[in-house]
Amino acid sequence: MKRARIYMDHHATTPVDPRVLDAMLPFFTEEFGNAASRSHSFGWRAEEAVEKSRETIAGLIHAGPKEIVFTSGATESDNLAIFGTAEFLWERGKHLVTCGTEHLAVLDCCRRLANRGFEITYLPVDATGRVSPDDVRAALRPDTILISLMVANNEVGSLHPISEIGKIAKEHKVLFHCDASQAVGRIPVDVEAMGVDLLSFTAHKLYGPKGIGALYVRKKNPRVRLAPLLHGGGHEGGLRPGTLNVPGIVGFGKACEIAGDVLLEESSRLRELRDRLHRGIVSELEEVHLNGHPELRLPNNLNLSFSYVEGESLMLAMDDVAVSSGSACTSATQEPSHVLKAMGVSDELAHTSLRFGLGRFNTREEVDYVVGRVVESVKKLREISPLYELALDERRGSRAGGLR
Amino acid sequence: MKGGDLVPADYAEVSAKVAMRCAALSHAGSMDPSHPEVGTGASGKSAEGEFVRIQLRVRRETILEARFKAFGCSGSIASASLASEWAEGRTLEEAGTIRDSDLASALELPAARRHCASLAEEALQRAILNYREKCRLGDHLNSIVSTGGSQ
Ligand SMILES: Cc1ncc(COP(=O)(O)O)c(C=O)c1O
Repeated sequence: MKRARIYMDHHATTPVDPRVLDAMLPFFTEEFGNAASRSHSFGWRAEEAVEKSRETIAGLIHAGPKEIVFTSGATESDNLAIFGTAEFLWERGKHLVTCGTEHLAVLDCCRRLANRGFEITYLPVDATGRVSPDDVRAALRPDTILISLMVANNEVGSLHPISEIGKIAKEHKVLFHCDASQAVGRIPVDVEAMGVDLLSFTAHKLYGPKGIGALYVRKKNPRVRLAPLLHGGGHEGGLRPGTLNVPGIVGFGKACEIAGDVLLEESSRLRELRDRLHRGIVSELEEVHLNGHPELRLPNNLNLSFSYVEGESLMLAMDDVAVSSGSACTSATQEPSHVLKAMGVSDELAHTSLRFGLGRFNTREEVDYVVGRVVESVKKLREISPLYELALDERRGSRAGGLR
Repeated sequence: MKGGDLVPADYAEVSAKVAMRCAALSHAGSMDPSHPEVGTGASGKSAEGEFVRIQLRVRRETILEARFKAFGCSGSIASASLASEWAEGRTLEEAGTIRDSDLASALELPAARRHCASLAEEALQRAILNYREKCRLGDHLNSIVSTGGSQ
């Protein structure tokens, strides 16, 4: 019998909300116009829909519509923010500050810049995955042009003290970029309150379609200038040429509208479900470790290490539940998650990690079912784990020793 | 270079054969390593996400029983299980010819997961070696006992 599949990997992506799909569909058919066509109503209608979405999207992060540049997603937004700043400001300085737990969309850009003569400071994080504002301050130099730090981490959900860092950035007149892919739609994001100059986000993490995202580019205090990555037309204020993805933008707008309406209620519901999942698992299994900050993290994130059981084998054992692991069997060398490593989690424990990401359509019944599957699978795999056997032997040995 | 979210770009799908073996876990278990008939071999490092142990119970050069325990990805678990199954009932010499390439092709392991089969081969080889050393040591002790015996 084929069991129903349960999706608990909402940090990877989310399903499109049916209301979002409904909003998009007309823009594939009767309203197919090019938003840049100024000479007829097909174009006008498309442009109108785009501008309405832009306003909604900007509103969700407390920005102005003119500060939103549409891109293909957060990867492109990160590239535009980092390379765009570097190319615009290289004469002023060639130093950037980021952190070891960033997404590869940021880290790989930094690596590329380092090859081109830029210097990158990678800030350390504490055991809960957060940077310290003092470390940020200490890392700044006269030639620092950009700080790039994510709002919420995609593996462990930890939240950096963004507002404090925003203040430091302002004091030192350094631009501040945030990858907020995991945060927008899940927790309140306010570019003014956070003191952010550039902010990347993407529709598919908030029940919108894939392949559409945005970069917020501050227009005043200060007015941020960037060099474009792509060339070929004046769209998006010259920052991102190319015919706009109208259905995607409409879907992105609808997704942001819904997120704005339900965010607070949904985040508390997901936090409850997440805590129920956590409690259910640890009440039946010992030696389960939480990765990430106990409170200051995304409400839907649960990243756990299950001692003695490798993550990928655990995922396979509960293959009707979709989650992710910080351990992945690839080529000869097995490198566990760079995020857990940066947090000081041992390699062995990093290989035992699973990431659960709850979402809008998960139910309490699903959570209870997943608790059962996790407990049963971990027990089964611990039975065949030589590490578990060793640990038990040691425990028995020390107990016997203690009795002597 | 890794790809998107948490999934590496060269992540290889698990074959149906591997999945079936991981569900059945045949030949999982352990034996007392201090038993004179038991040889124990291990391979891999837990810090690298893989540690495999194979144990053999041997009488008159024949493997009566083979058991594995594994901490590792599905490929490692399946390889250790299959190596144990193949070893059981064979002579030590026959079992010594079990190769990682045979395990990998029987399990349809993709190239990126060949190393899983290598771990199983290595653990098996080491179990055979461990048993042989035990016998040598045992013979040695026996000869001490029978020649200079206190009885
Ligand atoms: C923190 C973070 N940044 C960037 C991305 C990439 O986003 P996109 O798929 O829209 O390019 C992701 C999604 O995996 C993410 O979690």
